[in-house]
Amino acid sequence: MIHFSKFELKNGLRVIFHHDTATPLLVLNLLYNVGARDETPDKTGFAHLFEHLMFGGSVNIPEFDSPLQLAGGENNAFTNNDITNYYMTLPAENAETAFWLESDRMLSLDFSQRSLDVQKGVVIEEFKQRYLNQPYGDVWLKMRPLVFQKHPYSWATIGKEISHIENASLDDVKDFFFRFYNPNNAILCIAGNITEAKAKELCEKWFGNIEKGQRNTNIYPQEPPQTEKRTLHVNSKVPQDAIYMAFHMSKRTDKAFYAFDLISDILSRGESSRFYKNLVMDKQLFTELDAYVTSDLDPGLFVIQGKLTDKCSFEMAEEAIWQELEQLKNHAVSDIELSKVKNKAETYLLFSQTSVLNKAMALCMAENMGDANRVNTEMEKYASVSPSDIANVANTTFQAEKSNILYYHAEK
Amino acid sequence: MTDRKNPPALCGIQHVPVFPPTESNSAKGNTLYTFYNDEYEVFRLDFRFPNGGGLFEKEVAMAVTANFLSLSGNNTKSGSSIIEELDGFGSYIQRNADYYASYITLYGSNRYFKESVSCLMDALATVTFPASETEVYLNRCENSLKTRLEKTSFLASRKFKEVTFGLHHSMGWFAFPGDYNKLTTDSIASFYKNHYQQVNLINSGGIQQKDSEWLLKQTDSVFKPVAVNAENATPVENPVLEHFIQKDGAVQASICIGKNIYINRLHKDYTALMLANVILGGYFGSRLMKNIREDKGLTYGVHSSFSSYRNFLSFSIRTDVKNDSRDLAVAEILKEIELLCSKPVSDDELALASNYVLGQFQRSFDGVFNWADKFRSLLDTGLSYDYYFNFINNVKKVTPTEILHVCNTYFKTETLYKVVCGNNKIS
Repeated sequence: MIHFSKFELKNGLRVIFHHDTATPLLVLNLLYNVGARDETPDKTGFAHLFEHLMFGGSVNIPEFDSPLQLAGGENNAFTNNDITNYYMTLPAENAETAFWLESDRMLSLDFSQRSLDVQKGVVIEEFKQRYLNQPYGDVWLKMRPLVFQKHPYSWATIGKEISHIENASLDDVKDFFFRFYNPNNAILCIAGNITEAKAKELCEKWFGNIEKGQRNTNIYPQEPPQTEKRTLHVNSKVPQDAIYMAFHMSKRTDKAFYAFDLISDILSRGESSRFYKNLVMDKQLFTELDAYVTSDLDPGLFVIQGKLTDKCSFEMAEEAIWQELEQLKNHAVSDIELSKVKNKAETYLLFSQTSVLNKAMALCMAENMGDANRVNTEMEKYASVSPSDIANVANTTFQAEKSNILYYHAEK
Repeated sequence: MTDRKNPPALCGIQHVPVFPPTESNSAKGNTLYTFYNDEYEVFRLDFRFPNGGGLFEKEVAMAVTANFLSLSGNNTKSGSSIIEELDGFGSYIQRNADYYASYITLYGSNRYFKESVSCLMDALATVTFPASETEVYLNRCENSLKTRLEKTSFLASRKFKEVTFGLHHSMGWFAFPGDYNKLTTDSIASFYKNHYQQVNLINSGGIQQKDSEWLLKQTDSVFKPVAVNAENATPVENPVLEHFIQKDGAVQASICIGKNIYINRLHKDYTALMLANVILGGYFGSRLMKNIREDKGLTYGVHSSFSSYRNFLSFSIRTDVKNDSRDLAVAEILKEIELLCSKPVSDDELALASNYVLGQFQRSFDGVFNWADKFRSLLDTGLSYDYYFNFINNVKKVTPTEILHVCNTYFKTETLYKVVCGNNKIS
């Protein structure tokens, strides 16, 4: 049970407060309702480039990291297709420093060509290091446009191509900031060892006079239902063939999400899972085979991906995976197996609640989904999934004409 | 009008509460260390095998293999049924073999404490390393190795180990294709028999006193304190300092610069050296990050660090940069080190690094699971809690003069190894 309170400033900033006296720290987690899905197809990679720019200096503070480090703090951020999330932790006695820093960069950035050029260079190196210079690194750059034909999930957060980042102008960047980086488009969580009165006081002092701006309406082109199988073959200098299979699934906030998540656990969570036992250990068709959900706010993906052993052809791999999916569709999962994955989900949730940072992030994410109290109802949502829920979701989702498959051939 | 230009007043970190574990011993002399937090509904139990680390292996990859396969079961109870049972309780297992010790860590809900611990203890007591399980695991390692050998960072890292320790030292060797498959059921079982008799238990989280007593009794039915001697071979350092590994098609080059430093964390120079390392490349505002990432945009990240061992430190600076800029990156890294060796750091820069370090120190003691990690580190490196009790004062005492002195003593660029893996061929 995570106890919290909520309030809203006049400028629309939503604030969640969670008191934790067992820690010497304070966490500030700020979630902006902007992600890669808010970009346009000819200008991608912006939300992520922007995340980098946020560390380059704000209107009153030329450098972000040093004042925080002097206060004994640390910070980081991440961007995905839906949101951009900034977080920092520091000794609770130095709380005010966090409010000073985070509010100033919401107020305005120090927009300079030099700062933009440096971060473009960094992001381009990140593109290469994580996506081009790694074996299998470019999989999602190729898979996304296969699976999503209309929705902006069709490009990855890093961007479609390096040239989009190279061509980003200072005007593009300013425009992006003023459209999305507004108090009424953000959710702030203050968690740790300060009182609620102190939190409110600091909030009002530092965030109170930032002007309201636009709120993201979050309207995106809908992905039409898929009616036939889509495939793509790629050759690359990698040591093993790999297969990637994706199916469209529900939104994160749909009831069906929990059934999908437990299905991915039944298939591949841990060494007692079906994929591991049957296809990795027993039939030795794969050296690794995973199933997971993307947890997107708009309808996302259920993904199966694996690396084939030398004796396994793509035909054999595909057939083996389908056999497991048919099993899920046609035979109800046993109570023992279902309670196993539910117990694991519960343990995982309980562990995540021992960290102040995790609690703060979870509260922001939940509020962004419509209700911060979702953090306290997750366990019962998993617990209430029934064997017939699993079978229904499997039957409607795992059909050949709804599959998207990338065959990643190892060049020998 | 709020003053946004000037930072709010700061409180320095004066004190971080550090509490050693409570210690209890069983009838046979097995030790249980406990960190309680009775508000947690979950627990973590570390099985630490003090004779199971890489230091003790005579065949490459044996320590990691024996550690992973310790749950592979026997002819009556298979590895997969053991994992099935543990998963049924909602528990999670982590296995790792470090240099000194190996670990099996059990995470679970309090309500299944006894069941999950009994299951795990039984598995560890009765494992026979069946060939069916062993072969599949070793094949997977071989395959995984093939993929990793395509990565420039992996190749640079291996070369660095080789040149600083020599291929015959347990720190310097690593698996080549085919080495995993040389291990057999018999050799693995033999290593396990000799090196997994002794255990230290570290229990953190919500488990109560009465369960501790039960835990000690269980331990006695399986384990006993038996020390094993390890050969402490001397590192054989390569006489050549510069090494290049060709990787066709690489768009980035991986750089690894550093050396062994033959002092440990108790040495009088250590704290100053640790801070010098932070200033050089140990945090986001470091000299290296400012130059190579922020100023020149050559990389996504560049870091310098120490790995601390009982009698020495392994110092290294690592980064992946644009392939074409690899020579520039190496030159700039060396330039930054030379600068640190020639000009004292300012009081402000030292204060920044010190406060960062103290903040890290405070964060590293936040919560009982972190306390368990810090304790593991002491056990592994043979230190006492005095190291932590004295830490804050030691950091506050360091001066710019000392930083200059230790840089010149330990960081001279002409003594450092420079390993680069990239693409020399013009396409």
